[in-house]
Amino acid sequence: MHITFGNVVMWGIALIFIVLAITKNYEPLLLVPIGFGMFIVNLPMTDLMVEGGLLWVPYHYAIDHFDLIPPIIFMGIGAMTDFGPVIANPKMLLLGAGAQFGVYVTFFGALLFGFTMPEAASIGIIGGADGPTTIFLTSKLAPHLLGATAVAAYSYMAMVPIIQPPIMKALTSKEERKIKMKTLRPVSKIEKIGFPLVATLIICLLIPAAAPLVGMMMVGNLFRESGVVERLSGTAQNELINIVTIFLGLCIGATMPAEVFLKASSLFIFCLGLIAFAFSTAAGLLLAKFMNLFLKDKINPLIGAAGVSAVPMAARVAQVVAREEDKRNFILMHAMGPNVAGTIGTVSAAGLFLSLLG
Amino acid sequence: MIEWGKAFETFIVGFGGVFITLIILQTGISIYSKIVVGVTSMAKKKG
Repeated sequence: MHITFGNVVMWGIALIFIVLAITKNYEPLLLVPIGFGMFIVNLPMTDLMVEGGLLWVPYHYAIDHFDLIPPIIFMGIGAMTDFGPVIANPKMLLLGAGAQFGVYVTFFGALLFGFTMPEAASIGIIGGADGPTTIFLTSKLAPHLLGATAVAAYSYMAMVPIIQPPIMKALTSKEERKIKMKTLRPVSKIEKIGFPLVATLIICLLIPAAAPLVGMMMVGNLFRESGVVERLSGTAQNELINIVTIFLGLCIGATMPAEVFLKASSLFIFCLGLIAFAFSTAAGLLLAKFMNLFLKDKINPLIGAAGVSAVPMAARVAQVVAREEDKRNFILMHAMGPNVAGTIGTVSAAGLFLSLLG
Repeated sequence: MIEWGKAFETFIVGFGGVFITLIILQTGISIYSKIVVGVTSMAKKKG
């Protein structure tokens, strides 16, 4: 074994990831371990990803073969998420659905680039801006693309504040960005406790393939809202998610040896992922504008852009853009509605892809 | 060779399915909230 030029290029990419994570704070929890995994797997004779190797074992058993890690991450996400804004204003769920448009546009784009249908679905789901769902779907439909799709998803999630504002400003007028929304009604504890049960019932009956992700997200949320299992809730949103994130990041990075990653297809995946993300943002915005044609109480269309998952970054970006027009306009809580709805929408899209193509 | 029939089926069932699922979820949550709010206010009146 010797060091190839490709290995050196991968060291450079790994270094860029680590530097961006440290200096710019771009998804550091993922990009630091991914960068290091990428670096170490491109050292000769390390044998970490050969059968029985240190990173092969968690990759094979917890990601590739049994798909354990993404649902555990979803449990943590559920334990961290307040679904109150969605319960207070369930119409926001529609924005989470609309923002999945980019997933399907890119699905067709990937087909035109010569990818197979399962590969195209795995690339399209990047538009949902949800890393664990992208990993979950890709590991089932196109495991050979796992490294590229996961890195694209997390990279674009990190770049939400750069990618979304120009699209948001291009598709909305100043007046629309200034729209102030009514304060959300308070949501009772009973409503919050029942939500994970109602959501699990409806989504799992309609899309059984989404059960691993939806079920775990909702059990995490039930831990949080029940108020009687603080230890479980705390573990799900801290220790457990942190432990699996370490292995997830290292293993994803380790799926990118130079001979696998440095191909034209990886570049296409990055380009298509960006298209997916841009279309999802635009579709969410345009759907919000469309809904305003029928609504008495108008919604600020900027919150539609938060329909891509990327919780809570996309909601924060909507708030920042709204405040650029009017410093007294607070839409953050309103934007959290489509934001968490986007997560449910992306999971549903992944479940449907699995049902149709798996 | 792209199977356009299967691709469009995936688009229609997939994107349509996401919308239908979330519309049903929206309706379900609205009904559930109304029941909870109604029962709670009745209990408050009685209590």
